[in-house]
Amino acid sequence: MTSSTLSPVLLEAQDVRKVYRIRTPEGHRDLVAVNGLTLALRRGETYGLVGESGCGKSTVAKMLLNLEQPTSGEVTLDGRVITSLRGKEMREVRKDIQVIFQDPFAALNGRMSVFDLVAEPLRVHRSAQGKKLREEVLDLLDLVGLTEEMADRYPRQLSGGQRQRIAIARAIALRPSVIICDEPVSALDVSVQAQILNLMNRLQRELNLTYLFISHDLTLVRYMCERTSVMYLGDIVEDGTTAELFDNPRHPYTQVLLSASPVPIPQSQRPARVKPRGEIPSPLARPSGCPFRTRCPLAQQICAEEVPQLRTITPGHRAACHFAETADVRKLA
Amino acid sequence: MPEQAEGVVADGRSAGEAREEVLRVEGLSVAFGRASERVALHDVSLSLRAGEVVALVGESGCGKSLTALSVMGLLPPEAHVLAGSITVCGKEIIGTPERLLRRYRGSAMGMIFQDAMVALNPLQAVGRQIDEALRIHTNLGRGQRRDKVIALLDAVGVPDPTNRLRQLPHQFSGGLRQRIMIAMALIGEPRLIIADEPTTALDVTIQAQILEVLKDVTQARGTAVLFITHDMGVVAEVADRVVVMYGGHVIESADVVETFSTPAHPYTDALLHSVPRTDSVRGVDLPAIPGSVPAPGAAPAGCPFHPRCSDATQECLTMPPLEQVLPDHDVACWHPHTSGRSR
Repeated sequence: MTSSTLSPVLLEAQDVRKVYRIRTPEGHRDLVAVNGLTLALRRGETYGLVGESGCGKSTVAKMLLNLEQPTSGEVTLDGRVITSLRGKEMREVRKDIQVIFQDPFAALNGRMSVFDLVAEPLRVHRSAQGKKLREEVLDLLDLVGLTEEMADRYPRQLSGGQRQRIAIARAIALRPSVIICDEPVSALDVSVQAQILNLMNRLQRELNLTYLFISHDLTLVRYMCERTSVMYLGDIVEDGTTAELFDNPRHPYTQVLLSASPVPIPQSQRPARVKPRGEIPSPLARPSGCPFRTRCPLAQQICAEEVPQLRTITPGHRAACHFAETADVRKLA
Repeated sequence: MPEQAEGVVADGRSAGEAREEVLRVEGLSVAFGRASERVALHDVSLSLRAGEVVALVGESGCGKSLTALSVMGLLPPEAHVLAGSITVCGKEIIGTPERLLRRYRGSAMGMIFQDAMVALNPLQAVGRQIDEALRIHTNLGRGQRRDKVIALLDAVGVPDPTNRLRQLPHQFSGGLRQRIMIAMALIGEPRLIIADEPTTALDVTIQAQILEVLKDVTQARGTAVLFITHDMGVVAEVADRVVVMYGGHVIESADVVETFSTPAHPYTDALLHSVPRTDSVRGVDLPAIPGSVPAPGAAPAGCPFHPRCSDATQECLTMPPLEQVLPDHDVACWHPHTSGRSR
């Protein structure tokens, strides 16, 4: 915590909003994927972004990578606005901000050898050639825990864990400062996940990397991240230090999410679960007021009328709920 | 609430001795390839009694889904049974002609798959799809069948069932589609449900709802559930007993509480410890298991886990038998962790 408060902000999203115009049988409608999000990653930290499908977390990732233009708001990297950058300028910035995707089976070109896969970013950015390129690729393989003989293999000959190591080698090849990790271990076997998480942590220490760790798995976020934001239907509903968020969640959605997450403790030995009502609404039909109110066990009249603002509850801990001070859905279990 | 939960567990166990056996798999071995060179299931044995939920757990390629397919008589044509027997409600599955198997499926056993969008017919109203088992297996009239379908849809939590049974699968959310699958599996009142990763594709909050519905409706009917999953969190949520598979072998089988408190096989133990826990400290490495999971039919000889096992010795080059090490707790290991020894 002390280290994160000391280090400067590296990647920042300011009031970023993404609205897609969708053609429906009833005419054009606005799909609000991300609804005015503010996020600041400090150098060297791992920042968690949690939420269920359709909450907008992957759209956030795309906007941070400048693969998707925000409808409004801007993204800055090291103080420089990157949202409007194009062409050569953007290519320069890309070196500094890289990505690891969920599925290492889909993310790697099956017709390229491991060597070519890892060499590709170095070739594209002309940062190494010939003998130096070979050395650099072998160094990268070593760094992610793969041996030299892997270089001539093809993705189909590798396990999921090995493929994800290659995706990581590609991501760190240009020595970026930030890596956006979108569900980086979700597609891997459980016994292999720990290896990759350990690798990510070691690389962070050795290369001073900053991670945005996007996940639906709360146990992973709790272990990996210093600070975390919880998203629901395009809004950040709560953020703060991970410890505070897990020990003292203030938003009913965070509380429900924590309660509903399966944990490896037999059912007879842990507290009863709080089940949310109903299902996640379509982002095309956002509820008025608080986005969670249709499923919230504590919802009142005011929740339909007024949008709760993300406000500070205790220093460094914010929640967007009218009843954040007292809300406790676990009492209903 | 906790007292009640304990009561249920205790009752379940004492009554369990007397309850009828719904499924027995005995010494099942299944292989792929022209000369059966790739053996994917080795001598698999397990059993389920009425009303029991048994989790069949393991990672990709461990043989859990192949075991489920064998029980349903749905092995792919390139797979063949080398040995063993499977009985569902006393009826042998292996070697039974497809014509008869079809009679068992839907009436003696129901199935729930991971992806409802693939399992459901996209062009047929869901009511008609649920009704299919009744049309085939019963002599009920149309009105009676319709009432049953509506009552069951209501029981699994599909709102407004009378109107919604006319709708097509795409008009339902993922969670509702999975509820429809549950209704479809249950409509023929089978004694056994085989659920293959039924909540893996769902969000956490929806998963919690579906697991609860599945538990409630099967418990109310005394249906046995073989629940296939890779997620130890889900296992803890639903299972009475846990059967752990690795490399095509059953390596451990125990009561759910014991599985989590005193895992005896080094693999089960290591697997449970490799996931972050609430007391895991950031920056301190997780106790990872080295190496990767063997591909189906390519498990190393001897104990399939030995190349990744920190306790492995020369002995582990021969496969240990599945033996009782503690009461109601079987393990296939030469060096089981029996004294609560765990890292």
